[in-house]
Amino acid sequence: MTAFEFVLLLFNEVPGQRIEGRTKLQKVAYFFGLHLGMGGVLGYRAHYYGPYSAEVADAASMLVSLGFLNETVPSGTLEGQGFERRKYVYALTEEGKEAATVISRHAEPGFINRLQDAVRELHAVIESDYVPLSFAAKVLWITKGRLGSETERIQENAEAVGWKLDDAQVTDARGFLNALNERGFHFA
Amino acid sequence: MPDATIQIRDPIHTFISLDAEQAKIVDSPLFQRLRHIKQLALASLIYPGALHTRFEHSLGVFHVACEMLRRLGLENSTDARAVRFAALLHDLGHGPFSHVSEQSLNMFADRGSLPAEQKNEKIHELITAKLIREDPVIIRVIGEDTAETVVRLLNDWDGDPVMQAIISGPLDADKLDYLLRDSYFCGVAYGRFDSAQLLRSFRCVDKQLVLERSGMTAFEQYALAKHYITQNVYRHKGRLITDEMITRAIALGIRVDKIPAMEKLYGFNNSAAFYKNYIQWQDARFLTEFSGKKARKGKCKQILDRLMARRLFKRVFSVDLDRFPVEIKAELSRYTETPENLGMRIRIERGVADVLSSDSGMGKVDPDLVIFKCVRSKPICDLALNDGVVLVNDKARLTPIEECSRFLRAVSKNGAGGGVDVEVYAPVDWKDHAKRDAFCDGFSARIMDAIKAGVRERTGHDGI
Repeated sequence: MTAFEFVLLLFNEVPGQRIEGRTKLQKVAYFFGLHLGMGGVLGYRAHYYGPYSAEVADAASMLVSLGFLNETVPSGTLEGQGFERRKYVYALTEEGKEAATVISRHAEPGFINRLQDAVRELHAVIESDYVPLSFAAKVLWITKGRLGSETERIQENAEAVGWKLDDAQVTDARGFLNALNERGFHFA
Repeated sequence: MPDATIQIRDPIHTFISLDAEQAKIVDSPLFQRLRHIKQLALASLIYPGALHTRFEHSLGVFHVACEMLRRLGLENSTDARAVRFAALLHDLGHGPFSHVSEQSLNMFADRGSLPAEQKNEKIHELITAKLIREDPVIIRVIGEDTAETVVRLLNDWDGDPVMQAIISGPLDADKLDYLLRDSYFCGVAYGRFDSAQLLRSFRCVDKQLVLERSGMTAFEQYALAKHYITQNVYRHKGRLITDEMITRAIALGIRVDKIPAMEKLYGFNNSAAFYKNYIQWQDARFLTEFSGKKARKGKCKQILDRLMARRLFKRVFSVDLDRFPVEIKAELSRYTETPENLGMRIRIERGVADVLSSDSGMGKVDPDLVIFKCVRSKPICDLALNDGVVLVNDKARLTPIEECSRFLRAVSKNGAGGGVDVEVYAPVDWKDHAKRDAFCDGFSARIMDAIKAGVRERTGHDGI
């Protein structure tokens, strides 16, 4: 399965078939991609805003170009806080829904069920705001799922890739990841 | 950087300076091989000046990387030496006709020979890594540890992000060289931008490569340059056709003509014998061996002979994917040139050959010489950002450039400039544009039907 297919199928399963924010889209695809064993295909790398996949970004913009996703910037979403000044909202179009049906026929047996289970069980990923989700993704990237690592060690390793994480952010991220873990999240 | 001992003239950067150890790498047989691999394959059949090679491009990337390190104040940092060598060696694994070989390697590689974590990797990148790690000259000059750092910089870097940004990213040294170089040698003005101003605005903040606001206009110009050169050079229909003809010649050489030397060249199996053979090949040997007087007669030679005589296939069909019904559009939106999709492609090409044979006055058209292609274009903004993020130092706050640039926001609306064109190339001839238009108009609807039929007629499960 390609990143293009994965992102389309992901949109087809998330509540409301929409994701708000480019950072949120990146992080949601990161968590579900890892959980479903898509890490190698999505090719995430450490970026200023956390794990980032050029393939996911490319997939989203191609889906917009093809009319399978609608991209809007609702008025009044210019932020002074956070690091995302403008909220891009992505929603599956009617044509996108039909395309997802066609493409889901090519998925390996059981994949759609696993994706649906993941969306149901790991709903915290979808419900979370992009800022804490971004910290959680950074901690997951640094620890590779070994959440027992010392906070100082995590901060040192984060610093090496240009990320600043304070104690509270690490603690919150650890709590978030532990909760996901209890609901069956696979770290690798 | 240590004292330069060698100054090399370059049409893009005027002088490129090498120190003694860099010169030793450039003089190595493996690096000299790049002199014989053209940067843009057979683009010279369209743009006669496009005869530049991976050799001078690699030197150019090295030069830009050195400039970037200097501007960022990182000349003496821990990984600076490795960054310079990564820039110099980044194209070492290219085969004959550069990117054309990449496609064929990906198509014919035995991925079963690779460890699990490498099964999704691009084959030419694995080749580059292997050559850097094992070439005796490279190891002797730069040492095993630096060679390993170079490989990590080119593939899977987990160190200082700004170092990787110089080698791979929206503003990497590779792009800052090839746009200017390809533009110069093709004789077009499309790829030009104010590189001096762009470089001058680079800063390193929080270990990120960022632009000062003074570089924004130069970046906007760079975005347009990338878009225009892509449309007019990289995606020029004649250039696409020459690439596709070589790719098809290789595929037929392996599948139909069963040429042992071609099977050996593209049948990547990660063995020492594969690498030993691979580095002996470059453009001229490829053409001599597979199209010369002693070449095996067959379909591969037939296509290469046409290329040598510049009797290019013609584009007989080009339609926006949006014009297809949604189920066909969905199927073709996921189409990539991989072994999994081979069955569908062959069905489509047979169908189109039947259409062309029936009424074109050319007799029977060989379906092996009909080429079906989905040409993807990235939206203008994504093309410039390389699907990444460019940060601007905006009042001491790092901000994505499209948030600071109204121009980039305007060209990124609704995926502007992005999409897929469905195209077919075939060995047909016409004498003038009027005849071409009449030919294409006459066959368009029937070719479209043949494509739809080929997509719908699934034989077995094309699994993903």
